[in-house]
Amino acid sequence: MQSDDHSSDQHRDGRYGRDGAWVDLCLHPLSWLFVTANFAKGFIVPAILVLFASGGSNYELWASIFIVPLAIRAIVHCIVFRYGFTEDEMVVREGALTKTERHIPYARIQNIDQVQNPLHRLLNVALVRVETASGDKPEAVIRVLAVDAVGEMRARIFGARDESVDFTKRAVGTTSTSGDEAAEVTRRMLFKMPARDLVKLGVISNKGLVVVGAAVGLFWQQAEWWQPDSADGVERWIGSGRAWLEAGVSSPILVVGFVGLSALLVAAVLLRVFSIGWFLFQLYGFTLTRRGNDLCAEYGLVNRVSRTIPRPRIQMLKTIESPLHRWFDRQSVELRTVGGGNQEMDLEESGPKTQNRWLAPMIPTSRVPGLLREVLPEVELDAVQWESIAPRAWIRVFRRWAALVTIVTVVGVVFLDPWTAAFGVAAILFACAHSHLYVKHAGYSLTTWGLLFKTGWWERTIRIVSYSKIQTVGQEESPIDRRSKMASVLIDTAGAEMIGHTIVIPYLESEVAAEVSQHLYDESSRRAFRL
Amino acid sequence: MAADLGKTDLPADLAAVGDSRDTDLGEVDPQGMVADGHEYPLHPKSIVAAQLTAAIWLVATAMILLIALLVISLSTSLGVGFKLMIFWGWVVFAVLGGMLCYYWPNVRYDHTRYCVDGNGFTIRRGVLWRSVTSVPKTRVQHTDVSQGPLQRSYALASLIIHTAGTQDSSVTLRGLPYEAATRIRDYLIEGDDRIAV
Repeated sequence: MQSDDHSSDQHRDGRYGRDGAWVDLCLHPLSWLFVTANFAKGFIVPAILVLFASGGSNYELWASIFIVPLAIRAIVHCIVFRYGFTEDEMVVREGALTKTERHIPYARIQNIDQVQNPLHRLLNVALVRVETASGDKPEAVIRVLAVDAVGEMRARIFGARDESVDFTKRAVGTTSTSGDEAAEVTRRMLFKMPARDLVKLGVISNKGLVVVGAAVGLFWQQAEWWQPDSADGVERWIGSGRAWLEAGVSSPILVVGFVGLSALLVAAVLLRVFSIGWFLFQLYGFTLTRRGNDLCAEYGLVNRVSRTIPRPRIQMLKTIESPLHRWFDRQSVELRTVGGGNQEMDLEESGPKTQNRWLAPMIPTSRVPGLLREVLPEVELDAVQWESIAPRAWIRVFRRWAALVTIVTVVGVVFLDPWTAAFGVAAILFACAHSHLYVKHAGYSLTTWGLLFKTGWWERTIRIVSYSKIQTVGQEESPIDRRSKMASVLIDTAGAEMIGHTIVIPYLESEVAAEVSQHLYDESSRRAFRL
Repeated sequence: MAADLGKTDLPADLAAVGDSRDTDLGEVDPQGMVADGHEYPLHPKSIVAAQLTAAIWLVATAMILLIALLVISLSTSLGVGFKLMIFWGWVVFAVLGGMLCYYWPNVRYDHTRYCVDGNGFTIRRGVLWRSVTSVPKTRVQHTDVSQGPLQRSYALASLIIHTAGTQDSSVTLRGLPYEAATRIRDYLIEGDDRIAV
């Protein structure tokens, strides 16, 4: 590629970065359009709403004149923006007055995402996010590049890395892989998700609530935009609702029950429908391919996303199996990479958040071991020797439930109805069953390469971490733990969620906990961690 | 890490550590290895530092509370007896707080141990909720040794170990002898020729 060809005399014309890197690649000519759209995103929607709703003459409409300076700013941004590739870094330069130059070593790049909305696709361009491990925001958001240029970029970055993993040993100055060569790295389809599995996923999960939340939010916003007195309307609704309730109280209990039940049913069905719609929209045509050492996931009905995740960057794997999953004979497989668990909904800006973390949203149970082996070759999910947690742990689980049930029941019996006691008995029986099932289905396994931990009898999960990804090992004892001579083992990795450790193995006999944590500590300190 | 990681009755451990609080066992032997795998208590002076810090907080809180109570009792027409009761309540709060400030650092000191071994760094602490945290040497991203003004006057230091983790992205131990903290730091980052790829 020509960017390596930095021959002498051009050093003077200012197109070079710090280390003589050639930084001369531009954005797509139409980028300014998308940049303007992004700048204006904040108020363009309200402006349009106002325009259509109340026939203009509002100050919001006048405010949209500001689109002009925004567009000029966007055009300047696009003219000035440059990026390029050196031997081992990607260089991004931007800014007209305040110039910034960012060097991102290839080795630090966690993944490259390519996002295409319909307009992008129409123009054959894409938005690119370059992500490193440094927290919530992508290292660079490049808006927008021609699709070919993205391919070249990917080949450039991942090609340079795949060529030799230990690239410090590479002789500096040699020409690195060309785009064509990198593309030749074997590409293998691991998994393709049929649309009917998305429907099943929608049935299983609760994403419908997200849609409802978004709809409610939008409704409120709009109501405020063209009906300043909409609060009255809501009060009227509440009033009529109260009237309904009062009517309900006076009518036979059967009718109330029937109406209530059917309302619940309708709501549940609607939620599922929304949920199915959400997944079809987000994950339509989910495919997972393996390209050399990288995994590439592509999905999206309208916004087409293509993520590339280097395999060694995966910190944890997690399989999820709820009763409905079992009914469909499917499992969900998630992965965690570095970069925090920032649950942002803005798909354009935020990176590997929320559903983007799927390895496979739904996959037939029989194919799970094979899929996991693609990521962690050592995993033999069928042959795992599970160690159980302390068998007497069920007493502790039961006691916790029993205490809660007792309080609720006593309150119920005293203040409501003596019949609440029946509920109490049922709940105690359930607690008993639950605690036994909990202990039966919890377990861990220390293998030669890492740790597996399974938990849950209703929704069963298995978490898999290799020793090389363990950051710290902890052991914790609450006062109750100490009384019953138990302890928990805590493992932290770079890919944990915002709350809690990556893996917490609870209710271990304290000697066992000591052994386990010592083993994890020894094993993980023997291995180097490479980010 | 010592082999008895899971040992829960820490006060009994004190016998093994001996009369470390009187000798300066907190000081790592300058000629010896840093990574000797022994469990050390913090520097005894750290108790005083913790007591002083707690006392400053207590005085500040008590003063604010006192001013608030004075304002309330002067601006309202409550009975004198009630106002006196409030005042005595404040005195009880101050006395209990003072006792806590005095004794708690001692109790916490007795339950805090650190250990450096070939694998890395281990902290054991907690009075009611006890925890052991082990950071492998190979996972140390960088370390800080910091001293506040109070710590400086007692030659104490805090050792902060940063990892790439999420929950334990930084592990802090306060009250080490400054000397020991720097030696542990040097040990944890020595031979750090890892190059992330």
